[in-house]
Amino acid sequence: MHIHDIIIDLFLGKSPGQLPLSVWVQVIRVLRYQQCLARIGWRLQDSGLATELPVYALNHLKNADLIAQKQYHQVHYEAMLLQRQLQPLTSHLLFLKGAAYSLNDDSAVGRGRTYSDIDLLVDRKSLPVIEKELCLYGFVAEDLDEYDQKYYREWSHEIPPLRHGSRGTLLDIHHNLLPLITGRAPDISLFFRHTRQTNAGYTVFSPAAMFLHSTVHLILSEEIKHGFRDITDLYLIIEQYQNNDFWQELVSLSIESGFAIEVFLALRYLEKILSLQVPVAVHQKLSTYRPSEFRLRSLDFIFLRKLKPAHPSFGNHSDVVADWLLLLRGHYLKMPLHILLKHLGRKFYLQAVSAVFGSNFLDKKTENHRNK
Amino acid sequence: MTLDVKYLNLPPFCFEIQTDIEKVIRNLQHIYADAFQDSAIAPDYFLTLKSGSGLRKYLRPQARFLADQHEPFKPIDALNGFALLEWGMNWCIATQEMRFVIVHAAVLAKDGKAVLFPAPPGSGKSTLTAWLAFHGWRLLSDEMALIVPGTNTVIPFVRPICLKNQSIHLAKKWFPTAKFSSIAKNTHKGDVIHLSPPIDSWQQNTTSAQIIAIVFPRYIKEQSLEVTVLNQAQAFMALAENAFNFSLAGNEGFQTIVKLVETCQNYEATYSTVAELAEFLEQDVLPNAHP
Amino acid sequence: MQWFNDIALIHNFADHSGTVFFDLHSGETLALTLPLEVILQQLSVPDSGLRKDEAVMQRLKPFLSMAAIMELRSCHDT
Repeated sequence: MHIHDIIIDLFLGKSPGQLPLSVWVQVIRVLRYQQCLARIGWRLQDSGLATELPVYALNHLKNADLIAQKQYHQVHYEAMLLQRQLQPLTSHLLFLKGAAYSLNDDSAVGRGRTYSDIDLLVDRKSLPVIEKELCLYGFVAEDLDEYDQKYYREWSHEIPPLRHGSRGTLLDIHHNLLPLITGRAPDISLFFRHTRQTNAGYTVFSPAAMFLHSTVHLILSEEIKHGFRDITDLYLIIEQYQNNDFWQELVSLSIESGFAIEVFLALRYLEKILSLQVPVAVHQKLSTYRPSEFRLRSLDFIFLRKLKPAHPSFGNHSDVVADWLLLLRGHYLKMPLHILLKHLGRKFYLQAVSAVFGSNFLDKKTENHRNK
Repeated sequence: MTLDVKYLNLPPFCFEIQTDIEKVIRNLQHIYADAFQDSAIAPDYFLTLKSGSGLRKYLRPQARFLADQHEPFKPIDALNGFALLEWGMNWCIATQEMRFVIVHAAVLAKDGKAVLFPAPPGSGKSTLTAWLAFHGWRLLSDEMALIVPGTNTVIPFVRPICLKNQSIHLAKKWFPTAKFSSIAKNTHKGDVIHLSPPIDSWQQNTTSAQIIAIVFPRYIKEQSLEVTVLNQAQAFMALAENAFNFSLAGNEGFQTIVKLVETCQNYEATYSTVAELAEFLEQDVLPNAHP
Repeated sequence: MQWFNDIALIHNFADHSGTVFFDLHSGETLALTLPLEVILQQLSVPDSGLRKDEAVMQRLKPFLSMAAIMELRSCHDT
């Protein structure tokens, strides 16, 4: 059985039978890369399969669980500080993505979840004062060169990611789900009507809006590093929160905001990869948004590879092709063509320089940084 | 040269090491001997120590450390590759192995009783560690004490002793027949060398021990031995300052450290002659250990 | 009066050499050379040595409960 199928079975609570230790080594390695170790750990506990595991696996799962617990504490600490500092400056302050999963009360998707940064949604007009305020608290724009800063501020109308000087926390502040430059950014006031308060008083999206947001990010990505984590995020949201109201809200919100195709695709891949059962009524309502067979074939080529539990060491040529297609597609979807060509041109230039002079040549912090 | 795949069997962990740097392999063979193997059933971590990419590879050879796709450090001079790998292994364990309470300290044992030596850089800890390891003490760890949560039990994680600058000449003078790695020059820690501990440390690398004392050593030139007893609050604060990262600790980590300072003898010792300090440990500390 | 919040882990050392506070969320620690009984006693007295030590009180603040902070603030204002 392929390692993909073994891992999917483990996630879904199906016993893979007696596996040789060498296979467990691969399983753990892939899951660690996908940042799903802690998640698989609790899934195996809940499904009763944990009793069948060798000590090797139990040790690594325990480590992952402890790391996730520490991150959980850290995000609560950061969230408390951010809420206190920023709430007075904006009428809307929402926690998004990974942080939101963790802050959500008793959410399965937040259990064992780790993340590398904290994403916030605020009012657009508050961005400048928020950036200034965060600077006072030690958050500084990441060390980007002039080109990237310009990209963020002039083209994307975003603030670049901010890093805390001593804690190292990375903060990504948004005023919409997508940069305006993509032309796909929805009317954000629509989404402000789909929020809820956690017990601790943080504002997050409703489960349906949360699903939609994560879907949009996944399907429009130019790079998917943790595809299996991303698809299991979506699975867990549905598994926990699905009911008639949830599906109704999801379908109508996705149509209203112009992301019905993306939701169609997410559900398609949840069905194909994780055997999720999607209600017939939902299928019917989204059927008009099904892409052409031709498009679907190339989308399937990309996503069926990127969303399975993969690891670069165990990849093949098709995976490399999928990465390139995803890169092109992601950029094309998010940028007007003339800017895309400029941006791609530069990205290719950077890669060419790296290949000749070594990949650390362009690292600003290395001793041998030269002016370009 | 293509990447060679080898294994380091270092209880309680097993590392897969992929490297294309000849010098690194020679150091691994010399320092680790039997623990350096061609195959392993269940590696825990997959480390790569490889030459830098691109033209740089030929002009000023660099070594890069990767822990399964992740590159936590900047590359260094390829001649110092072995030192980078040693630091990389420390980093890997310190950031991943949460099932132990890890104190940044040397830990050595005699007669089944272990003493913890937490010390910031420059305190002469490694010279002390080297001397004790070759004078009847068993080395459990030079840099990271792996403590079983909720107990005083320390699990060995035997690795070579990392010596810096002046200590290098001292150790070579004291132990001329011991196994030293090549010197890594001009690293961010200065000149660095790794010294393999005696065979009995390797042979007992799965035998745990009970920590009965915490000693904060401080080398001061021409200082005759001076020992101060620390109270529990002082010992805790000293550990928190130098040796233990509480931002990563949970409830269990906190309780373990608290229990440790309450059940151990806690001292600060300033010295210039290692033998004097060893005598104090053997005659005053070990016999007073609570069973 | 519950002086400390739920996130604060507190340990009173067995040799009465002091008390340590540990914030589970931020990882911050604070060790005071007063045993816990003395700290609690001094906190309840508005003009105690501990209450008057601004520097220490500032460092103690993250570990205090909401009720404690309110109490201290109201005394400060009067």
